[in-house]
Amino acid sequence: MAEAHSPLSQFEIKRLVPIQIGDLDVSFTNSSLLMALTVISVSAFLYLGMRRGALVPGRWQSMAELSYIFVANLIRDTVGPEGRTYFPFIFTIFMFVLFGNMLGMLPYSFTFTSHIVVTFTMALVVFLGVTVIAIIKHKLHFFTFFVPPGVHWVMWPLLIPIEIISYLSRPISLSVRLFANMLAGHTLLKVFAGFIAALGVFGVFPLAFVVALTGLEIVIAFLQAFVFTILTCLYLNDALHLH
Amino acid sequence: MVERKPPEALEDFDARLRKARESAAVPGDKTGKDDESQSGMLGAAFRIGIEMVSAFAVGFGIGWLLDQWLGTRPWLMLVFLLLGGAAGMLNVYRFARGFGYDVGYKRKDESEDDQGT
Repeated sequence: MAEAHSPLSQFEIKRLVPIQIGDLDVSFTNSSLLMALTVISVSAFLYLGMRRGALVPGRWQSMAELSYIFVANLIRDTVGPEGRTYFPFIFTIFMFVLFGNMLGMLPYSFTFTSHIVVTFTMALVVFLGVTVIAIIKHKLHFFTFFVPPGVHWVMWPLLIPIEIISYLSRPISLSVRLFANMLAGHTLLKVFAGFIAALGVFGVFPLAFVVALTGLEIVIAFLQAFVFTILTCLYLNDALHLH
Repeated sequence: MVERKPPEALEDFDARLRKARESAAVPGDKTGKDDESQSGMLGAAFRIGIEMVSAFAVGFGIGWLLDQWLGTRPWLMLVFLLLGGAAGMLNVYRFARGFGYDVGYKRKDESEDDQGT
């Protein structure tokens, strides 16, 4: 059994409904299914939670309110009052990544955040959006962003390319962080789960480890959603204030 | 007895509200601390690695593309690999100085006079 299922087979993309438009393969895959489920469950969580809108919230409503307050405070602390305009976008990113990670923790599920294509696309949207906001807000003044302060102009030809590369590496580090954490965690979980059956009676040790690791993975699922969100906020802060 | 009941209930509600507020504040605090201290060293090591490699990869990519375009096969790639390495160092330096998620391009104390211009 353990040989039949490689620890990496959980990341396999399966076509559920094959769709072909011209040369483009736009099949509905298990990844798309989980994304759709994520959107549905986030909407259900928030909509049904807030349906009653009671003054003294119940458990569900306070969870929905808590997630709102959490992101709102995050934006206020990192970006400041100007960041309120971008709340819907950042809240969407947070809930999407968080629910995607959490749904990926369910057995037989699929974690779409463990695919670099997905995380890189999200990071690219954030990066391009933030850059466009900065250019609209500061016009050409934006490009002084790449000139290090207090440096003689002789050094500029060397330092400006370095600053530009450093800036361009942002979407990569943002996406790789989320993707690598998810990939590594889920692979580790599967590897140790494979030991349980293989070791017979002594399988209780890896079993205990897997139980502990599952807890850790849930923390990481939350933490990585949080890190993705806070980095988005910080990039937005840079774009708005150009320190 | 009947007179004292409502204030007591209110007080109870106040205490519960305060507790709720505290617990509402905790998740944000806890994650921040978790990230800094508990899984801090591993997280920092992980982050430093990613920062270095991603800047290096971007440098390589730019150099490679410019080489393709200008037909100067290995040279620009080599130059940009070095620049990418330097940018990676810069990323790590910024991370290590602020020891947080500070990714600013200028130091905080200089930001004030710059904003006016």
